Amino acid sequence: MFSFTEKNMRKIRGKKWGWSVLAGIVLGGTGLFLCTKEGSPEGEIEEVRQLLAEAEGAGALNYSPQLYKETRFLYDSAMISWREENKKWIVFRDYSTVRSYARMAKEKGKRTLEQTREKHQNSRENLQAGIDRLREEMSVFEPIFNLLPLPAEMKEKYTQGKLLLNEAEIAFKKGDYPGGSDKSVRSSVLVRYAYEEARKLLEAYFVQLPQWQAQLKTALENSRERKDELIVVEKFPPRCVYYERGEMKYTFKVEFGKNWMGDKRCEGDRATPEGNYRVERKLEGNATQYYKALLLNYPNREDEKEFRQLKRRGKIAAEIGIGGLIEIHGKGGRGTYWTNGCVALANEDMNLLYSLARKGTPILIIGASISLEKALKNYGYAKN
Amino acid sequence: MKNRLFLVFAMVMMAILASGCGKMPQESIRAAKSAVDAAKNAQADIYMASEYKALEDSLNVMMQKIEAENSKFMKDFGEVKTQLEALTVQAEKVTTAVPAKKEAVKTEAETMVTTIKDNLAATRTLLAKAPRGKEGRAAITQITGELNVIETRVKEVEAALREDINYAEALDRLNAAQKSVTDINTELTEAIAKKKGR
Repeated sequence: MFSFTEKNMRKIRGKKWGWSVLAGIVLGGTGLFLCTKEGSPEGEIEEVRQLLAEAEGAGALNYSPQLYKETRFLYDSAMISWREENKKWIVFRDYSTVRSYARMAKEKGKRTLEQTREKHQNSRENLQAGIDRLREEMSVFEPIFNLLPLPAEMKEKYTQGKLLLNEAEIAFKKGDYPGGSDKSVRSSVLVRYAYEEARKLLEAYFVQLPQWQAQLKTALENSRERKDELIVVEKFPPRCVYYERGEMKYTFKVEFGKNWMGDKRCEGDRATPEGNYRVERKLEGNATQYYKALLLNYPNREDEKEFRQLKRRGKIAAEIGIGGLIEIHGKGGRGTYWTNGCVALANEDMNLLYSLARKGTPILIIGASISLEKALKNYGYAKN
Repeated sequence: MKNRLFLVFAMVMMAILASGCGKMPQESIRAAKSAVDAAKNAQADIYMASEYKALEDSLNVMMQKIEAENSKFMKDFGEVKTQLEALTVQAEKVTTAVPAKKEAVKTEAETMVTTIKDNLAATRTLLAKAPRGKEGRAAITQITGELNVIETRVKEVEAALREDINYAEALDRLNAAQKSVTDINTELTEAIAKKKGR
């Protein structure tokens, strides 16, 4: 029989207190569990990590290194702060700083990704355009460049530029646009430096343009007055023009020797003389090895006078002669400058010119009849 | 007596709950981090770039998971520990695979050097067959100049291949040189054919 004795009452009170403590622990624990589960900044930080990974994959380290670095710093700060908060006892944890870092990192991360994508696209387009532009320029200017008597080191630089452009194209194909841009710029510097030097050389040569134009004017007037034919050889752009009574009738493409730029001074200089000449003899069959030829009266009196002056000044060695056998001949059309100072035409053109010319036909050889700009435009090359 | 035991039990329970159940897998974290570092030191970021990136990213995920567990009232690091161990194994695999990848790129670059040298020699032979005398001299001089520049470039890269360089970059430079030689060879072959046809 149960009775409310002092002993029984203490038992009952002790049991009640124990159950209350246990219930409190369970309830408190559940509360804390739910509370901390909700309070963890896991989701925010994960978003930033994904943004960082995406930005890195898009090339942020190349295109937006500063923004990427800043985002990374904020992400690391969030992680450190999170770690520090986790070291505290659960009820004292406060993730607001972690969230604040994560929020800032997210904003910066978004900007990093946007900027990276934009720069990536621009970089791709710019590199493609840069490569295309340089290739286009090279395709137009290279034929001119190859004809110029430039120092070997200049040509070396040009070839190095071409190699770098190939490297830029390989980088482009691999999607390495920053690397490709760097190579493209270096290539452009080398190629354009070579072109500028070539241009300077041409500009120096074209100083004589007024004199050439005056010579041409006189020769054409003479042709009109004498109702005569006239052959004019222009070195840049290279062409041979046949006039009748001062009227242009035919134009032919021509090739010269390696040192075509400037007047012939002596034998072996592989230069084509400039000035007024005439056809001395017409050669064909066994008389010439170049299909058909018009032998010029080089050296004329003026050439001899200049040669003597140069020799007196010691500009030409004593054993060197003035040279000769300068012809307008066939076997040309090779796309390169290969003669020893003669003017070469393709055989079919030579046929026509040979039939039109006679012994004594005046020949004027000049550097150019038009300005350098126009001449370059004729080549399809215009300076930007 | 029973009440005292009950109280002790309750306090132990409280202590356990307060401190959480799991312990951070410090050793697994250290092992994973050092395995990823080892992969980088082995140049996995150059020769196995995508694999290395995946390792780095996975490590970040693991570190987040650890903090997520640390944030919980009831911690359980069992899953993340297993994942860290798997990451360590993967990183070690990548580290082991890098030398072979690197060697393969190096071998490819060395093979390319031989190919370019052969092509250079073939182009020079073609050049020797080109018409001599005054006719092709200018073009020959020009082409010879270009071939010399390319040859110098190839020799530079060949010498660099003996050092511990970025072989992938070296291979790109060689590919560019190879393209230039091929272009010259084609140009020369066409010019010779054109001459023969005339």
